[in-house]
Amino acid sequence: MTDRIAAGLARRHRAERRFRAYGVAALAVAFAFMGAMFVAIAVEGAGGFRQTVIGLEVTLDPAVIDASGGRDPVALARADYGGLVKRALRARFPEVSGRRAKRALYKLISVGAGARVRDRVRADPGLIGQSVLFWLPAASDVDMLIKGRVAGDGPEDSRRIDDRQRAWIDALIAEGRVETRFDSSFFTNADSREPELAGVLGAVVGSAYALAVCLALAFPLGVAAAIHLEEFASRSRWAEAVEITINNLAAVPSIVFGLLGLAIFLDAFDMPRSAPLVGGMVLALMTLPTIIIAARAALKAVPPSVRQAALALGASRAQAVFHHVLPLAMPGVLTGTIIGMAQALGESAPLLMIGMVAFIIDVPGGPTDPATALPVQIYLWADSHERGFTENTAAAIMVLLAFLIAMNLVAVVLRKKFEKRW
Amino acid sequence: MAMAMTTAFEGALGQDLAVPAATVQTVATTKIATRDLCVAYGDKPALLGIDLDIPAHRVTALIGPSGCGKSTFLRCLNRMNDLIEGCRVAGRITLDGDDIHARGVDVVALRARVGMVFQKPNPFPKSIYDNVAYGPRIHGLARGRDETDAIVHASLERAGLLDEVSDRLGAPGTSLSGGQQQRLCIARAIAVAPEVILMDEPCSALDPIATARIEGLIDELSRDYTIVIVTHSMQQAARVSQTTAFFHLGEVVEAGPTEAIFTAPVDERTRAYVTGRIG
Amino acid sequence: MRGRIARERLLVWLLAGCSAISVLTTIGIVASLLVEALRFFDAVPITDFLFGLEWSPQTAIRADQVGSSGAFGAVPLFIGTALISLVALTIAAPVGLFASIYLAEYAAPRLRDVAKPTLEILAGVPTVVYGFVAVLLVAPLIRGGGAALGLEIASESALAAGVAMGVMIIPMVSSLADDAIAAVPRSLRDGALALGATRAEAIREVVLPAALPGIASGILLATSRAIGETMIVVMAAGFAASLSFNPFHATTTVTVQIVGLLTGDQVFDSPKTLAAFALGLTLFAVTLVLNLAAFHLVKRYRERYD
Repeated sequence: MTDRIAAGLARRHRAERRFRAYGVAALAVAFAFMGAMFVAIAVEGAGGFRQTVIGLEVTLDPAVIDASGGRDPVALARADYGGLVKRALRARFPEVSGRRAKRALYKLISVGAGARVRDRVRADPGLIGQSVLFWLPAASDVDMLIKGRVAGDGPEDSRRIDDRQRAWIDALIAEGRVETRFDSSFFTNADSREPELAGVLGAVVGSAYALAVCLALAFPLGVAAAIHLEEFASRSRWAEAVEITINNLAAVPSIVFGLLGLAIFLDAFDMPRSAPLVGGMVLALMTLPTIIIAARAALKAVPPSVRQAALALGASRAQAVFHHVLPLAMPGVLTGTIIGMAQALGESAPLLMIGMVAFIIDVPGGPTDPATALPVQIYLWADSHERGFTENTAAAIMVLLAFLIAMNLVAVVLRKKFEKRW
Repeated sequence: MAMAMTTAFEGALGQDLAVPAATVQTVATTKIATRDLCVAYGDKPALLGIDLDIPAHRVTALIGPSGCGKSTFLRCLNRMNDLIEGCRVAGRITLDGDDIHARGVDVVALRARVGMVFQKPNPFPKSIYDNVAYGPRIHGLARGRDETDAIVHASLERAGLLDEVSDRLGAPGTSLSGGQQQRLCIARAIAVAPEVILMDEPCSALDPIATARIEGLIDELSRDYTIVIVTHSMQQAARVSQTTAFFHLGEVVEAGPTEAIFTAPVDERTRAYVTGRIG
Repeated sequence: MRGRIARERLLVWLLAGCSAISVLTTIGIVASLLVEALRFFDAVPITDFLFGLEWSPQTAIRADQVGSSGAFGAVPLFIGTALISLVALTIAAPVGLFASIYLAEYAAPRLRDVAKPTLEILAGVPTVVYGFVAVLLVAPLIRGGGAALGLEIASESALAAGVAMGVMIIPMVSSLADDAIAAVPRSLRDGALALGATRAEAIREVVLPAALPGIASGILLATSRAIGETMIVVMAAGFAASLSFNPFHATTTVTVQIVGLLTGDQVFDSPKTLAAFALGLTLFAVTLVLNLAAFHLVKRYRERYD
């Protein structure tokens, strides 16, 4: 008998080793993809947080800024600071003449530079009349060149920066007037047509409103539904029917929810287009199944003995559930909710359908203001042809991933802390 | 039909199933011996130097209060403790004189010789037939449908289950009652033709009638297999075993013929346990 | 005592109301899709839609020119969707399954504690990120690799989109499979190992069959996810419909067309926008079937482990 067994042993152990190797290989493949992904994003996105700035002496001519002399804030805000910047450029490169050449010169500095000067003057009106060194954001084409994202050489026609502009830039570099710095305006600006000025604040706030609406709707409804299904109606026909619809809804493609939002919220109920409120409602419908399923699983994982012990002591069904079962299930419920919220944060397809895909330059003030969401912003920037937006896309992805990693870590820590094998 | 199956099974096993009563009385050889066996889970010691001889073709009962190492000891005998994280085993365990922890020992082959039945019946989510056929199949003991059929039928017969399930061998193993499931697990263990069967409180999850049936089964099985049974019930130990070892706080306090342990225990702790004062 | 019973009954009814919301949502989805899709089928016959081989949705310039200038045959879209999903599954199913087996059965606890959450992070990465990576990294690599092998692979190939999508659903398969495997009680494994099975034999023959309903269900759900995926294909796949099943060519999917038809300024009632609802209805129906199949599988083979 044992001979027969012994004969097969070598083959069986070999099969065992192969089987195990497949597992290692699969993990390696998954992690390799993941590593490549994150590296590519990090490499591309690191530049998005940095901005090339050019140092210019700007004369704060009172005649332009404060003609009446009264330091009137309205006048200060309205003055033509862009003109002052252009003047500064002309002062630095006085040899430049002719409309075309001057326009090429102005193109080196971002159109948003004037706003930087303005903010400084408004903060400190005492500077009026002086000549101050400002570090102004370079235009995106210059930014890309300095960061090495585009080729500086090659036929002039296929470059965004021509030789003439190149010469000016080199001159500035030689003077130490070109730097690349960490730029927090990526976090404080809303979207813009110019890549160097575009930031994620509007999108982040839009997402925040949408998620808040989503959570406020989905969490109570979801947990309540799960409790009803698991504790009070379990195994009834109703529960079976509902379970089927929930499981189906969890697998319905997100774009279908977008169509639903479009048809019902926007068209039938005539709610504001592009609003985080509608976005949040659509997201809530999408997240509801996730929360219900996770909550049900958490409730189900509590062993029947807990319920039975409570009931045997004279507690009512509701008391048994809310005082004994739910607290034990809460870690699992919270884990599922956090994961559901993280999924909702990353959703973009349904938001495209309800219009949160417009170009919005203001930071939304409330959930009914038109807004975009962070993942949609990423999509819009990715779709753009300008090289500068690729950096922004990757940087925005890093911001989004940072939020998601934080949320997932919380969920994982929660799960680990309370993981039990019953 | 059953006779033919049994004969086929005998042939496959190379064993003679019809053992004359007289040979049961002969002096038992030692099947398994442990010397200074120590087991610890992490830094918590569970067994502190166990010296025990398990006689062949007998039923040896391990009794003692909860948590004093009986199951741990049992799991050492088929090296199931290897699967437990952080479990360290020291000392010597021999099967037929050979160290089971020696370098060249294949755990897979060892477990085919030393089978186990668990406290809670654990039939696989397969048919009754496939449950029993699983062991022979993976070890290559059954080539082809007929051999497998023979082994399955003979094992079920031996476990006293064939009559009840012969018409529904394709039904899932989990569709049986608790007592039947446990007998299925016994049949499953027998199917690989082990030499030793370890039983970890096999009746604790069963009602008294099912328990009685299995106790009867144990008695029959001991003619061909060496059986080591952990039990909480002293009455059960008294009924089925010929040798008993009393475990207390990780040590074997006393071991010897069952009758002696229960009627004239030597150690004070043994006396306290069997008379019900402790445990 | 009475008051408490009445309050409890009210509470249960409230809870029941909450659980009804999911039913309402489903009804809402079906209703809204159906209503709009039926209006579409007034203009374009359903057989033309489901079996037509040409997809070039044109909108009428004049209101009375309804449907006559456009072709709304969705078969090329179905083919494109199926192709990309197939590529995705070819990657995700084996990788996900074996990864989960290894983590559940072989890996040291410390590796499992690190690897499992890491894989789950991968699952949490939004699809728009995968779309970006598909364009930034995958498509150029595949194109370059193809060129090295002498193959002409489009930059918007089904292969590129499919690979990115496949990576996205790896964790879906692996985590569902892991749940299914972990749900198999230890006693079953122990039983198999005590009989002298090797780990692989115990897994293949006892654990996996016990976990199979969960695993199969996971794969079906992953398929459903792949079919319904939008952002990756919007960003990485093409817009031109074709009947080719060649993964090296560019192709378009149902979801890409839905987005194309509805974003941008559209008159809401034109056949073009209504076509989006018809596509949405089809998508919903297919994923419904897959999901019901997944659910049915689990139900039919589930064993109770109490």
